[in-house]
Amino acid sequence: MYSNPRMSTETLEYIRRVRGTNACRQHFLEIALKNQESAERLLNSGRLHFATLFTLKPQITKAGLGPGLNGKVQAALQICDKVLEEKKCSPDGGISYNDNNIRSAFLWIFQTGAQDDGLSNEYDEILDLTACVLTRRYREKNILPQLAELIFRRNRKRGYLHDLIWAFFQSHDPGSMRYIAPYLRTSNARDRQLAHLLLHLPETGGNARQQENEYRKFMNWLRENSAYLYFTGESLQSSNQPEICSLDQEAQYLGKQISPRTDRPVNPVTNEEEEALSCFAQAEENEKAILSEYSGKLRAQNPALWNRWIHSPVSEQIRIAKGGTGRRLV
Amino acid sequence: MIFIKDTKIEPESVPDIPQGSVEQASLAQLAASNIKFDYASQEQLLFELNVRGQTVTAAKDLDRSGMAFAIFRKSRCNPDFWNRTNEGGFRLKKGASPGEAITDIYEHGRKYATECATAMVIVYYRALLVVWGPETFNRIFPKIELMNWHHLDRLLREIGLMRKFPLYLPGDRLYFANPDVDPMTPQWQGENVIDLNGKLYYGHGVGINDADTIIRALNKNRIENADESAYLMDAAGRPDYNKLFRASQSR
Repeated sequence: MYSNPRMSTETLEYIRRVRGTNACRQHFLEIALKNQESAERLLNSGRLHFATLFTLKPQITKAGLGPGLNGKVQAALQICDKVLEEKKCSPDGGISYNDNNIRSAFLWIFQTGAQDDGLSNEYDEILDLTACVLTRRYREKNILPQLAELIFRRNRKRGYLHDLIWAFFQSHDPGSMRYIAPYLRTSNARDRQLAHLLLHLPETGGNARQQENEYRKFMNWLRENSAYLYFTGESLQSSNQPEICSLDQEAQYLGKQISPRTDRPVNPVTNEEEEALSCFAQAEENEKAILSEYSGKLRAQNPALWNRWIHSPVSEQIRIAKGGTGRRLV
Repeated sequence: MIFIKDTKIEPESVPDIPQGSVEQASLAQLAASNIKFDYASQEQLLFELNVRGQTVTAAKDLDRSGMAFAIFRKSRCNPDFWNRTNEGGFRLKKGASPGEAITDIYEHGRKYATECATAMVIVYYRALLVVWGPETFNRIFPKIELMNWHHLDRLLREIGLMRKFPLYLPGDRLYFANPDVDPMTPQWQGENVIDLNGKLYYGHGVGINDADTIIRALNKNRIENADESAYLMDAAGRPDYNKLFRASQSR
């Protein structure tokens, strides 16, 4: 019954999931050898998942399918071949990244394929590189929640996840850390450990309530400071405790938004801001942290007061920020 | 400047330093610096110099070993000594001698393939094996897992930690970053290297080269329209020589 040429794509998906890859391949090959058009219709369906296409790749070749496949499916097969090439001499060779079919194929591979992570080593490699291309080349941020889930799912399986993590942070979006932060309060210790590593937070342990507090504290910090965060270039390839995303103290002190990719101000620094920065530069390193944090809080609570404070001499700023006079404003 | 128990010492007064050696070059750099480097004893200083020298030798030897470059998914190891983990790292087999397992990588390099960070860890293990000898090495490192900067023994944790130093010396682990790498080849996102003499660096996969050559190799693997060149980061992973020295002294 399964080799019925009028079989639906859902049935093909069902066979793969329930009866396994061999059964799926066998039934598909029977259809393809009897009626190529029916086989191509199954693959061209919008309900096909990448895992099934990947599973059927050898049978697609064997049955000589190709011209009748739609652009997205052909592009997905091309991406598979490229990733699995033994040596990628020319990294972008053979892939036309500006082609809409290629872009939608990458997106389709990840969005329908992530749930079947672990199908095979080659399959996981395709998922990893697809995530890298989507975040780095296409700046595709919509996949970040699903990518975070995949990272932690694979973490629980103790699989290789450094490329997925690299891909995640290639979005250069400080806000993306909100998808990692919930794992600070998960019951799974291995996931908590990874979340601390990725967010560069010291591991504190503690009970569920303390973990919840830590999560809320981080989210507040992220909300207050996301305009002043930038990506340092550190990664798990360079360090065992990378500070992947860091706070620019000068930007926080001035309230000046920076580019998260370059750590340079989005708008030019004014003369007045230059003066404030030269004042800031006179402070000791530990005082700079106090000044910038205090500046951010005061600016949010009382802009007029902040304006007076930041124009006072640095010694006065430090004194107020430290609360030494009892006049601490925040 | 070098101080031993608060007494400044001159490089000439340190015995048993071969002329033209890595040890001598490192000693000269430490002594010439304006920064104060404190040591508890001459033995501690000599230990650091010795490990630095052997790190450079171990890096050069690994370059000649025949060990191939491979991403973690395609890594391989000699199953007589190592189990390959799900992540692509190598875990010392139960019952295998740690020292012999490290030596096997050097003697049968063609049975191994890994990426650049794991190669750096292998270099440091080899250097310590030579400095301490197998008995002490096996006592201090009864379990070994080779997987870039992760699952590191607590005694070697600092080699995975990038920090700024006022002075970089032979034997330091440095990193060339490639911010505009092509996302299809994330293994070219950077190159971990051992500083051989301040001019030449050993990186697994790129071999022994100067900084310009390594940067050129990384830049060849950038995304099209890239606007940032690869560069040498101003930071290093450096063993805590003091901690390692104390570990070898304890019984």
